[in-house]
Amino acid sequence: MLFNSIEFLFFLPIVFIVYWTINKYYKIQNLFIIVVSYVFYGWWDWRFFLLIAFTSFCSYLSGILIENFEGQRKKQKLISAANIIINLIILCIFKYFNFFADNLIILFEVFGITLDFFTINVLLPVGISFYTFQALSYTIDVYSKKLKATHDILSFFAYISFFPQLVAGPIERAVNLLPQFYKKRIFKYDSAVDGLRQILWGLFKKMVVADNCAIAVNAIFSNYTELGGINLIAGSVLFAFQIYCDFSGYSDIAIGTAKLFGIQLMQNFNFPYFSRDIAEFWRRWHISLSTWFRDYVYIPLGGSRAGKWKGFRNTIAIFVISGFWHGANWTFIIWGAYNALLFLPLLLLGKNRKYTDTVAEGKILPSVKEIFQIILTFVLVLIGWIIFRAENIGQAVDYIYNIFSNPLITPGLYSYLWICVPAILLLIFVEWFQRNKKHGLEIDSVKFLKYRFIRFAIYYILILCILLFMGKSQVFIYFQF
Amino acid sequence: MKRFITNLAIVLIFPFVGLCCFLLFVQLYPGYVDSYYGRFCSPKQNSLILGTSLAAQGIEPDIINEKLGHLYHLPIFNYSFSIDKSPYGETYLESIKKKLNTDVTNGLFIIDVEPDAIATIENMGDLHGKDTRENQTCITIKNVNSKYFNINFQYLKSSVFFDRIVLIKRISKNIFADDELHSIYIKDNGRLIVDSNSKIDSLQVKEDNIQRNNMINEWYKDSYLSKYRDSCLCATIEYLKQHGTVILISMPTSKELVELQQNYFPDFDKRIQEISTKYKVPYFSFKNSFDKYQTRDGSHLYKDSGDQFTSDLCDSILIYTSTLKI
Repeated sequence: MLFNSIEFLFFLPIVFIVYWTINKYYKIQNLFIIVVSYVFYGWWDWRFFLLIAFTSFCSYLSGILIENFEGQRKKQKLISAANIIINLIILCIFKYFNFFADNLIILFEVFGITLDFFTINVLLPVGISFYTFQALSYTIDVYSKKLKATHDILSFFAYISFFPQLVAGPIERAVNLLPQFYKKRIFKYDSAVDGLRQILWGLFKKMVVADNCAIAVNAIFSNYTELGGINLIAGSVLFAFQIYCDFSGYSDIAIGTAKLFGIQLMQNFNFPYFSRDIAEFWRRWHISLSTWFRDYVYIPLGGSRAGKWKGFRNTIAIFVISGFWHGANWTFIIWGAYNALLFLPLLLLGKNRKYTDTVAEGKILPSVKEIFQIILTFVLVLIGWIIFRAENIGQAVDYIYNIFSNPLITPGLYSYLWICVPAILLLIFVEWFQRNKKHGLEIDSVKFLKYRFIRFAIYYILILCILLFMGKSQVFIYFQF
Repeated sequence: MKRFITNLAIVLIFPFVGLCCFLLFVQLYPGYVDSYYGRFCSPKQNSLILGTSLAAQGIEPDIINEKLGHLYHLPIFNYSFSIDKSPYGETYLESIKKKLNTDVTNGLFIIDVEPDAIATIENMGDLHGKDTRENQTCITIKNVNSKYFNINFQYLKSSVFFDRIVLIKRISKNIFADDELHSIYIKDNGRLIVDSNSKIDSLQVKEDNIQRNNMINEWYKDSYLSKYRDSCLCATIEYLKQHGTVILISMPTSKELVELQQNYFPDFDKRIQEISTKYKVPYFSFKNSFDKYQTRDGSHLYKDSGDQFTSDLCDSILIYTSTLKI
């Protein structure tokens, strides 16, 4: 079930009303969350119920076993490792089997050996990368003694399957989300209103900006050999906004929906295109994933404390693994490596934590230097997005080459500009002035918006924009990961 | 919680009421919001005329029904649209399959083949010439045989943004009010009638023709024959052959347009001949008959010329049919 579908429009209010009606009994609430989450998930494909249930059960059991073997570190390590391996095997089978098989065949062919390998024709279960990592974080946190193992199976299953963030994140940490299911949730008016605003903003980003950009991006990337440089640059810029609005829009809807149920999820995007360098960009983009890799891969490998060269190795490792997490294609791996290459000089110079504040804080406009930094960072990120979006490395290289080799301007229909450009400008305007908030419509503290009629006007304008200008519905990009 | 639901209700009441009014209006509006809508408001058909706006305006089904009714399973329906709505492609073919009464085995299918219908005009296609028109057209509408229920919602939903705005405007204004020069309506047989009030040889018409040809020249400069659309045309012919007789035709048009087409698509006619031979379907080209028929804008036939052309086409089909019997 998509967030921007008619089914969800009916699903959400019904779930909301029933949820708060049974609020007295939080365990029943948790059971209810599990049921509706499985219904939500099953709307995609009911065949994958068992998979998520199995993952949940394995991780739940691993937590209990780790606790039972308190003091026996080796056994605890074994249990933790077993759970990690089982879950990663499942992930690899569904996501990476064919990739490895195909590449093995190619590798052996280089040596003149023909392998007779079968490839499996399986659907990728929606959200498997997200809930698997969420389950793994629980096991690792219990092993690391950051968290006590839970004996409340309902809370645990609710934690894994909680429907707003089940299929595309944010990838929640057990230390943050799981305790929220141990106690009665209290309805908070301000939080619920803020949640609705965040949902509205997420829908605007997804349906107006992302879906309209997608139409143009698909056409440009399909015909990149014949289009002019300006069109190709426009295509990459539009894709940058497509992927940002698609993914952050989904996250906003997820976080906003969770607020309606009294659950706080972590922020997943923090206005990344206003970053002044690549390190800041990665602190602001897909925060739940990048922090997951930092905490569960980078730091266990030694982080930057293992020495300069090991620090570099670890940095390259997490970027490449992060790229690979996105999909079974060399483009994602190269994209990860490319970002690692951009990051390493900052790490070498010790400037990777230079910009931890909000750009132009307290000011209306950025300085000239900041504008330059933002644009430069955006251009560097853009090159990465071309690699990310391309079907293969060859196409990515061709695309970039054609920007410079094709005529600058070729005739072509530029009608996509009529919607995409105003929508993107509106997005930038709103998010710039809200860059120190959690989302674009966090307007409680904005003075001139204290009047109800102004706030209502904003809501109505956004709703009208969505109804009139929504592009042809596209699947959320990150569902494929 | 009470305060939340109350305030939410207050916020949503106006859009909700507005949406209900709009939906009610759309539901009750009698349709015919543009020159394509009417074709979706008829039942499945036994025989079809396919092509672009040249065929939509230039071929009169009633004349075909009268002259060829004894030979084929008629009546025939004009299911032609326009260059941007019905170039040959998967979308148009899917729509044709939905429109056709698949029980028929002796239908008549007149397929107008123009360079425009198998060219990629905009430079937004893929490497094989499949362009954005595939998904952005009212042809994607699911129900094309809605004699008995309203398709307004589907029609709005299937239209791209610009069409949507135009549709909403037209619904409000009633498009088929006569303007100074033209009145436009669709007949029950699917033919689009554009009655021009201006005289054939008037200065306004001559200027319109020049302007239109200049515009077409600009389009053609960036166009190329699409492999994708060529293959879809072949797929369309192959499919329709299972249900009856397929006739390929090339509509008459103005001398200037013919020259433009020959200039930019010199191999087009040869290609159609190849398709005709390969699929064993006759091909009648009326391209060089520009002296016999008049166009109102350099491309589309006047109503009377269209009637005359249809009659001549029927005669050609009759001669072809009698040749086959011999």
